[in-house]
Amino acid sequence: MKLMVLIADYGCGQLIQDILSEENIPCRFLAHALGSADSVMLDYLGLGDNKKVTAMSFISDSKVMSLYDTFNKKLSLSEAGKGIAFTIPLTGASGAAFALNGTKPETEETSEMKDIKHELIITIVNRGGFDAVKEAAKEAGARGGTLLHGLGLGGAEAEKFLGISIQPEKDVVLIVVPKEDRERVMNGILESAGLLTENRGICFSLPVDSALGLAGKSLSIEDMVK
Amino acid sequence: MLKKNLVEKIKESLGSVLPVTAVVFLLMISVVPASGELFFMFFVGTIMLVVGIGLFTLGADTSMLIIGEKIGAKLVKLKKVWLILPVCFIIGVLVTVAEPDLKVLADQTASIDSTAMIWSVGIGVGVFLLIAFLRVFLQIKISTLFIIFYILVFGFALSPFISNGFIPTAFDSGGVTTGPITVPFIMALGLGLSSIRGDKTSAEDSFGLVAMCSIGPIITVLLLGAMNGSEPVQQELTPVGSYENVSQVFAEFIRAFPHYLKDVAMAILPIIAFFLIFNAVSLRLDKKTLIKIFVGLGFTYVGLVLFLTGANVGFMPIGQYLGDSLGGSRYSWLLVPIGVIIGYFVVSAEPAVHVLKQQVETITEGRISAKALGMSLALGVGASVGIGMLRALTGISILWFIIPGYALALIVSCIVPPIFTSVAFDAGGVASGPLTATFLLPLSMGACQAVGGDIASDAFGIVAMVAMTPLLTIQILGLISKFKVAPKAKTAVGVFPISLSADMDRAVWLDNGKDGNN
Repeated sequence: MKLMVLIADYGCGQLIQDILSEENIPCRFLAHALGSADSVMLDYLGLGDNKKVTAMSFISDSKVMSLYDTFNKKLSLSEAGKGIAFTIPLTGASGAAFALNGTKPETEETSEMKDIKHELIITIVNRGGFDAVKEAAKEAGARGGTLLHGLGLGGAEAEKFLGISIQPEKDVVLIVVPKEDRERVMNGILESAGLLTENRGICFSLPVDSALGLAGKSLSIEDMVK
Repeated sequence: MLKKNLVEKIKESLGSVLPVTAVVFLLMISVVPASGELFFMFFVGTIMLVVGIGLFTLGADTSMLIIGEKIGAKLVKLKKVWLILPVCFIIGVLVTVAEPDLKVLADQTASIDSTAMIWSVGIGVGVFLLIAFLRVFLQIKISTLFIIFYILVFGFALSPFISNGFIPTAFDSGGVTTGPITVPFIMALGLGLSSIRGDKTSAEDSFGLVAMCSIGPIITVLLLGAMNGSEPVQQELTPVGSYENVSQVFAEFIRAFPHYLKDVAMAILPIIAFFLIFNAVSLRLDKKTLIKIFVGLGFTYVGLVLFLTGANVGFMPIGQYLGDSLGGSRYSWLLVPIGVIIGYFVVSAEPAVHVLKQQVETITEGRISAKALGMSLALGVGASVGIGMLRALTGISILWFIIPGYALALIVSCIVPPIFTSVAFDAGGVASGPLTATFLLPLSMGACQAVGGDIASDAFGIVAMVAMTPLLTIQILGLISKFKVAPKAKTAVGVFPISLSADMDRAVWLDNGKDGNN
């Protein structure tokens, strides 16, 4: 059982849904996201806008390969800049999610950590901290990132005002990096956007056990998927 | 990425302007043969519209929307009612009194002092923007407020205190407050307000501010009319100028240009001034964001100037010409189907419509797609222009359409999901934008004149019709979606904190624990 994350151009939302639907992948979540703009100039001109769509779904291990194949064909993910897909091994999921995929909960260790080649770094900062995270990550060697808007939960910060509740706005930044770069990137991020800065960021990483379409590398599926 | 984004934007603006120009072009080479100069005029106008709307949408995204959103969010975060409400009032008054269309309207209303008129409209918007914010804080249902205020409006309008000729002016004053600059700004205020909320009504509360803001002026202007015992408003039709050659047409565009340079600057400056003060006192945005906003403001300004010049110089005479020649011909009944077609396509070329469609899609994360919304708007406006033409030709009173229309819209608002109600009432204000005034109105005035009708009462209602029909079509869209997804959506959203895909059925399967392999 894995969590598959697919990040692609905004316009591909419907296509992604169709693909997942054809492949009988249930339980899909779509969220709108922003990619990081390439140049400051374009950003100023309003042309750096890089709307993305992020799809998440639960899939069984056996489906990873065939799905990557389909993504490759229909979304040409192996070309640079088209989008990425990766999977994260799960240690647990609600019973129904397993039942849906026709697999039983796996008892053995989902993945051997030594096989992990990439890591997903998730950074949660105060709204507006995306730029700081982006710059730090770029400097440390990351090739790109994706921004999701979120709202913080939690008693101390969320407040009631008359009939509405006000929650702190957060930026959630997803960055996939090679395993050996992880520490450098995370340190960079924490330095410029960590808890001690005004961005109050926290940062953690998850193992990515397979990936497709990482920028600058056109690895074949065989390379990526064990 | 530059190329991709640029191509996308160009495609978008071509796609929104070209369909309606294609229809008009076809008419000009078939049913109503036009002179070469008119063709040229229309051609130049079309180019200005395409470039203008492209720049406008590009700029509005990074300026008006950001400014509005930041101010809206910040205001609420201050959490001081005594501060928020006066600021809302000031914003409402500020953005309205500078609107160029309002000045034109006020000057036309000869019996009322134009300064009094401008300020009463401004105060109307201010008060209702304040009410709109208060509504969100107190969590009163928006449909309840619409019902109360529209009953008030109609009760008042039909009462003996108001002379009949004054009613169109009152309704028009509601329309002029929702111009292409104020709409993105006010809409963004609402988005900002809900962007920092996590409760369940935050999506539906994002919309409805524009709708509320267009009720206010109707009421205050009616009050003003009741106090002054106003005379009916006189409307005149300036004949289409004849141009002997292409250079005269050019001269016409050049002559109009400075006028719109000034008009748009007048409308945009109060918002910039307010933003700068607010930024200095409380927002304190970083330099990068500020640069982005000001580049965007530049785009918005240039885009809107081009758009308005193109529409006023290039489109207005064509609209009038079409109406006049078709109305005067043996085939005057053709105006009704042609009106439907033109109305269907023209709405996508309204600048603020883009902003609305995009914002709705973003806020609902695609559940109300820009496409579905655009389609409902187009159907609505198509119907209203068709009816408008019918009225221009036959002189049926507008009340036969407006009263049942609003009554139905208000009844439906009690049963559709609330977000559709707020979006629909916003869309009503958004749909009746500058193109309605510069193209649809002359079209119906031309037709009305050709058949010898009364322009003030038969032609002018078209703006009110365009503002009314989207209330119905978009709420109907809501009804359809309610029966399709609503019962399931509840469980799905409850279980998963992140937003769900548009196709909810499958997501919900999971909760029911059914087999997913079929």
